[in-house]
Amino acid sequence: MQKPILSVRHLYKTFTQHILGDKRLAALQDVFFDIEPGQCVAVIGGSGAGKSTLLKCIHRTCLPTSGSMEFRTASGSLVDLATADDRKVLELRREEIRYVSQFLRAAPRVPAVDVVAMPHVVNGNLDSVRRDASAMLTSLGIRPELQTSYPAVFSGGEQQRVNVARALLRARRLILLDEPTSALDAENRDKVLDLLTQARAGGSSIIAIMHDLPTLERLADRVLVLRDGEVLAMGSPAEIDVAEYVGGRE
Amino acid sequence: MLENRETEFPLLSVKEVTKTYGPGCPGRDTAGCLLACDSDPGTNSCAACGSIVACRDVSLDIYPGETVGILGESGSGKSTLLRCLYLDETPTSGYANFNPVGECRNLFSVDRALRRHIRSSLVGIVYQEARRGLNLLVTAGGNVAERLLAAEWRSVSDIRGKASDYLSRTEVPLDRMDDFPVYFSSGMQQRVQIAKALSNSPDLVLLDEPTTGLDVSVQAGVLDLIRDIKREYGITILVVSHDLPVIGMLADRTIVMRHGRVIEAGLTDQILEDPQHPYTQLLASSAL
Repeated sequence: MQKPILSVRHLYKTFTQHILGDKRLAALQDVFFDIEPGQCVAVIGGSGAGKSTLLKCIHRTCLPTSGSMEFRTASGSLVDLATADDRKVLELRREEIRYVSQFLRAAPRVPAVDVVAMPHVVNGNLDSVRRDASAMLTSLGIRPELQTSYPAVFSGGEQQRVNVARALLRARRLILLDEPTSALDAENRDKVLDLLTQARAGGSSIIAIMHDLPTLERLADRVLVLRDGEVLAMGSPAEIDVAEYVGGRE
Repeated sequence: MLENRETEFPLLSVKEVTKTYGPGCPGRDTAGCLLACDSDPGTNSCAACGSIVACRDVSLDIYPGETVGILGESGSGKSTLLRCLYLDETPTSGYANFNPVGECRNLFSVDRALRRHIRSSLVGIVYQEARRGLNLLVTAGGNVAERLLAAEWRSVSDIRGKASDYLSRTEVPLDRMDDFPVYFSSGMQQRVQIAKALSNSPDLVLLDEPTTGLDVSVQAGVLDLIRDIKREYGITILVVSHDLPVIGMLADRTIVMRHGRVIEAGLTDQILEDPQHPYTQLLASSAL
């Protein structure tokens, strides 16, 4: 068995809303799981179960209240993402960890192909990155004439594919996906799943929030079920009656 | 000047900078005002003597190639801090170690010659009001040339070429290069100011509300330009804004100021999505 790339233990997240009289909302309670290199863990559960908060804690967009999230870096050292300093987290985000939000957020007036390419440009190699970006968008069914338009005018499904392309253009060791296929029809969903399958085959580990059975069956090695911020069940898709927690078969 | 992400040393290390205006409390030095109050006192004017504490014990590190944002309401001390760092103002106490290649110094104790060199060559500033950063009675091209001359450029054709390059990058029409900025719209003045500040590729650029008061299309253009130049030259940026999306788009890390104090610091997305301090929560939840 390989050493896990990420080991989450006793993870708690409580949101304290000072502007509402210090109202406290427990979003995650004692969450734990491991993910190995090249594995895909599907996070499932109802709305408000803490799925997005879990992903955001790993990305450190949310500050965990307590617990540890040990990440094994490419060089083999262990970094606790819960307590790592901001600059270390930024470095990992640039090189090893990618987070894909549910909705595309991009600078205005930037063509789709540049939205995908820009984060990956180093040392001014814009042209080659742009060619790769264009190829990836084409493989996701975004036509070339659309690629030079601004994503703000795209449909929800097109925006989501731009978002996924931006995240997957260059290999990352850990990919965090918040419902990567929620706005896609079956055909486009399969294109995204092809890309994710390739990424996983290339050694990337994937933690993805999923809502539909076909996605889960194609991609997930393990399933983590959350309810009210707690781990309700964990195991292989065969061990867990996933249909109980996600939408039924098509 | 490529981004060196592994650099251990900050380009600028600001330590406990305090700036007060006013007489100060009797029996104490000026920095003594409000000193008894270590947490946020809810105001920045001293109840005893009426002095204004614009910045109080502000510390931050900026590493080469990164963009740090300062978020805060008007009167929180953001601009005062920037003006101290550009040596427009002398802080009451504290120091700022500035470390461009091979010469680490406290900015606040440099002699006049070095102060001039820092302001003309090493640090650039874009003020909120364009007229602070521009000479409105010198042509747009002349404004950029002034800065290049101060940074010891000598060839007239080089200067002219650089000025037209940067003005065109900031979308200032070149046929207006020889017009006076006093006749420009405020958006265009702001773009001339940005061209001027960036023209000699300074190590550190201070941006004070670079897009405030601009209409949205010009704002998007200015943000594009800042991002392009950052990507191209790997410059280090300290950007002040009260506008959350502007900070969100430009800054890697952000500090939040209120009543002259740093009340929160963190990754920009964390500050915007999971703010910890009551005031930052108010800011984040009030954004449209």
